Amino acid sequence: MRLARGFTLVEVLAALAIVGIGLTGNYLAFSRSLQLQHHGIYQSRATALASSTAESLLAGRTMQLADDLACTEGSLAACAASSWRDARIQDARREVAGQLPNGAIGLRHDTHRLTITVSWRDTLSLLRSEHALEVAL
Amino acid sequence: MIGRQRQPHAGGVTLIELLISMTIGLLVLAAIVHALTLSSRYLRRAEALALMQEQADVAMRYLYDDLTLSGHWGVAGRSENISGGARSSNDNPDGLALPTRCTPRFVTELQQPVMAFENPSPWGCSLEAVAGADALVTRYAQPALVDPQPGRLQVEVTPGAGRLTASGVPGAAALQQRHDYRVAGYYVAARSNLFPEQPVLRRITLGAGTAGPRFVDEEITQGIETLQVRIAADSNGDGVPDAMLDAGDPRLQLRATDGGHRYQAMAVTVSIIVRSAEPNWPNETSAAFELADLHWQPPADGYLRASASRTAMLRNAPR
Repeated sequence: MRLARGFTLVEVLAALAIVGIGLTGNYLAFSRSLQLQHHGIYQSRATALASSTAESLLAGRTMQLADDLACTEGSLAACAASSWRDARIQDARREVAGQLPNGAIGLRHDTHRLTITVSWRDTLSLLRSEHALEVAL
Repeated sequence: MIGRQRQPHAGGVTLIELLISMTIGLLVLAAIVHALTLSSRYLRRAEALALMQEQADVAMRYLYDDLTLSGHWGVAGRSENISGGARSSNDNPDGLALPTRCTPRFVTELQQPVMAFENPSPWGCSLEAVAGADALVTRYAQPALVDPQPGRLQVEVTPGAGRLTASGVPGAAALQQRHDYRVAGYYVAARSNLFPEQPVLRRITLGAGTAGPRFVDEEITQGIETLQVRIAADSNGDGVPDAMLDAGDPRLQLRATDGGHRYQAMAVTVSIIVRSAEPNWPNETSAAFELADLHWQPPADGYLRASASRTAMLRNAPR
C-alpha cells in the first residue's frame, strides 16, 4: 500500500494565511459596518441639533446683527438681541455636549448666511466628524 | 501459524494534532459567534434608536403644527377682536354650551393662544399626567373655511371682529367667514393604553358631538417620557424676544385686562425625552438631560433615551 502523504508545513501555512486573510476581511467589513451604524446615529442627532439651534436662533431674528455689536445706550434692542443669541448658543452647546460624544457646536455668520457646525468624536472609530447646516438670513 | 502482519502506516492524525486543530476550530467558532451576537445586539440597538427617532418626529410634528397655527383668527386678526372668549371676571361671557370635563377657561382663554404649565391640572380635566412633565395648550381658528355645523365650536369672523359660536346657525354679518375652533392640550401620561409599560404623549382637543362639542383625549405617540416647554417672550413690545420663560412662569399668565406688564410669547421651544420600548441595555448609561428647567440624570434601568428639541415661531403673534 502506498504511504499516505500529509500536508507540508508550507501548504499548511499557505492555507492558514488564506483563511486568515478571509477572516480579516470579514472582521474589517463587520467593524466598518458597526462604525457606519454609529456614525449614522450620531449624524442624525447632529442634523437635528443643528436645525433646532438654527430655529431657536432665528426665533430671535438676531443674526442680522454684527458679531461684535456693542451694547450701547442707543441700541437697547440690539443689546437684548445679542444676549438672547448668546443664551441660545449656551443652550445649544449644553445640548450638543449631552447628546454627542465630545460634541461641540460652531457658529459663523455674515449678513446673508448663518452656518452652524456640529462636530463630535465617534466612540468606535475615534474619528472626528462634523455636520454643517447653512441657512439663508 | 502465520504471525500478525504489521499494518502499513496509516496517514491519520495524532491526538496532539487533533487537539490543536479542535482548539483552533473552537477559537474561530467562538470569534464568529461573538461577532454575530455583537452584530445582532447593535442591530437591535439601531432599530430601537430608529423607532425612538420616529416617535420623536411624530410628537414634534403634532406639537409644531399646532404651535405655528396658534393665534390664527382668520380675517379677524387679533385674539382681542373675538368675542365669547374668557374675560378676567367671566370665563364664559356668551354662555356657550361647553362640555363639563374641563374648565370653561381651558376652551375660552383666547387671549392666550399658547400657554405652558408645569402640569395639566389648571385645565381641570382630571388627566393622569406624569409628574415633572410640562403641559402645553394651543388655541386658534383652523385655516379652512367651513359651513356652520351644530355641535362644533366655531369662530365666525369678519375683518377685524369675530365671535365664538356653537350653535351652527350663521350670524347676520354680510362678510362672515367661519372656521372650526381648535383647542389642543398636550401632556405626558405614565402609561400608554396600547403598551402599558410605555409612557405616552397625549392630547386633549375639542371635537364635535351630536349633543354639542365634546372633549377627545387621545394618545399621540408612545415612548415620550417628558415634555418641556420654554416660551421666548418679548417684554418691551419691540417684537424681538428677549426673555426665555419656563412653563408656568407667572409673567406669561397676566391678562391684558389685569393692567400688568404682559410678556408676549413670540416663539416656543418644545423639548422631549424619548425612551426605548424595552429595557434591553443594562450596561448603557445616559448623560444627564438638561432641558428647560429640567435637570435629570436618568436611572440605570436599561432603557435607551434621547432628547429632541424644536423651536416654533408663533407667526400670528403681534409684532
